[in-house]
Formats: sequence, C-alpha cells, structure tokens
Amino acid sequence: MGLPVLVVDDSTLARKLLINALPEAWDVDISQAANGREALAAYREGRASIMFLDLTMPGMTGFEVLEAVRAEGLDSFVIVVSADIQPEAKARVKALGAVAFIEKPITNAKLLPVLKEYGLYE
Amino acid sequence: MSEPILSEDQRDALQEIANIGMGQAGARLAALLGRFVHLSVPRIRMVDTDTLPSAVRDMLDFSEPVTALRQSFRCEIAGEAISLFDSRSAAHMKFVFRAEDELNNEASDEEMSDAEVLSDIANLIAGACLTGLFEQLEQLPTFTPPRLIGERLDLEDILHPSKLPWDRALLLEVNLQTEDGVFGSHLLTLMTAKAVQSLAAALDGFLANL
Repeated sequence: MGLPVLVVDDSTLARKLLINALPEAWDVDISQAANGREALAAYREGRASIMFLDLTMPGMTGFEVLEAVRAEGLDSFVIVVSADIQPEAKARVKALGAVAFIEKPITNAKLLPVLKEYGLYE
Repeated sequence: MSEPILSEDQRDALQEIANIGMGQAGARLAALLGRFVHLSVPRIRMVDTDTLPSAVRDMLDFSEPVTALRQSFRCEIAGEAISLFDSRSAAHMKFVFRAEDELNNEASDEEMSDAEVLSDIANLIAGACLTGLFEQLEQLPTFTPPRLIGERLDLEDILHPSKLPWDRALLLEVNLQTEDGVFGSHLLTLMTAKAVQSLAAALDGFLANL
C-alpha cells in the first residue's frame, strides 16, 4: 500500500496541478480535501502522512488547519503550497510545524528537492 | 448570442490564477507597510450593470464611503480595475508617506490629497495582481495611470450605470487587509461580455495545456 498523501486546496485546478507535479514513480495513496474541515477529517483517518496544504481558503484557512493538526500531535509532514509569498507567511507556517513552503504555481522541479530533502522520495 | 458566463472549470481556474496574482500584490504591500497582509479568496460574479452597486455592496459588506481610483488594462483581454479605500486606509497611507518624506528630509507642510497618496498604492496593487494573473495566461497587460473617480463616495456614485459603458460584466473582487486593520483595499476588476469570451478562450487554452 502506498504512502497516504493528502492534497488540500479549495481550487480543483490547484489540486490537479499539485497531483500532476508529484513524481510518477512515487508509490502514494492520494486523497483530496476542498476545505479545512475535510482536511482535518482525512488527517484523523490517517490519510495524511504527507499533507500538501493551501493557505488561502474560505472558512478555515490553511494557518488554522495547521494549528488544529499541531494541537492533535502533528502526525504528518505538512508541506504548504501557497500563493501567499510574504516572508512572514513562510515564517508563520514553519513556526506552526510545516516542514516546507512551496510558492505557487507548483511544479515538479520545485517539489522534488523538498521530497528528497526529507527522504520522502528517492 | 451565447451568454458570456464562465463554465465551472473556467471559473475555478480564474479564481486560482487570481489567487496567485493577489499573492504577489500582497507580498509587495506587506513589504511596503511592514505588516502582515491577509489575502481574501477571490470572488467572481457575472453582474448586470444596473445591479452592480448592490452586488458589490453584498460582496464587501460596506457601509462607509470610499475613495475610488480607476485604471484601464489591456492585453488580449481588456478591462477596468477599480481600487477602493476607506478613509482609515487613506489616513494610514498619508502617515506612511509622511514618515518616508521625513526620513528623506523632504518633509513639506502641504497636505497631500487622498488621491495623490492612494494613486501609487492603487497602481501597485492592481498592477501586481493583474500582471500576476495574466502572466499565467502568457499575456502581459499594460495599464493607464490611475485616475481618481472621487473621494468619500458611496458605491452607487462610483458604480453608477451611466459611468459604465456596458450592460453586463464579469466582476472579480480581491481584498487585501493588514492584520492590524490599519489598511485595507478592495480591487474590483470589470470585464465586458466580449472580454469575457476572450478570457474564457484563454482559460480553455491554459487548462488544455496542463
């Protein structure tokens, strides 16, 4: 069984772009969430060993998802993928426990070094 | 004539590329103000011109008068960008500019108007946002300089049908607010039915190339 990967973004296009950017040979089991509530439900079901998380979402923002995940033990590698490229946004998500920040638009070339750095993909 | 309404896929794609443009505007604004900026989820609606003020009022939940500036943009797709600022934001920008002038020893006793202070910031936000948006459709828009519509106006005065030469338009709204609330700006982008058809075609091309 593949590694459980959760893709969280309110945009269908953004989720598709992220999934397209994953390495083809990576053995993963992909789930998708269109908002913070769905993301937390999937996380609690153990479907997020790795979580790709957008920040700007209606209702619960990515910052709030990250806070909730951290309060529940942070049992996930959270990689934030966002258009919010303020240095302060990057600093805040790192402080909340995200392992990496990737600026949108996502590409395979931006993603691969992050996955390799954390030994998530060889 | 077919209705110039975007499909769900086109609307979703426009929202996402607008989000990327807004992120670039937010980063520049944050650097200028030295404050953390909250980005909104971009909102998109087709509106009839005669219902535009009420549509915008519903969207923004606005009661205060605003200072409004307007500029045109043009690439393969043309439209109007309208920047709205409340009086608190105008006052804060005056404070920022005055502090900068004092640092540069260029302090002057002349009080700057809201329009002078807000023109640069409107240009910065609309320019970064729409350039970032259209960049992803491989287009580079050009802009006319911001022109003051008026200071402390009601939305009905800014968006009066007689001032807008079309019947139906696409409204794209983004909102940047500093976390401490001292500054906020709404950017309304309006595109005519004809521009929306070009936009829909460009979005289809973008989606087909993924």
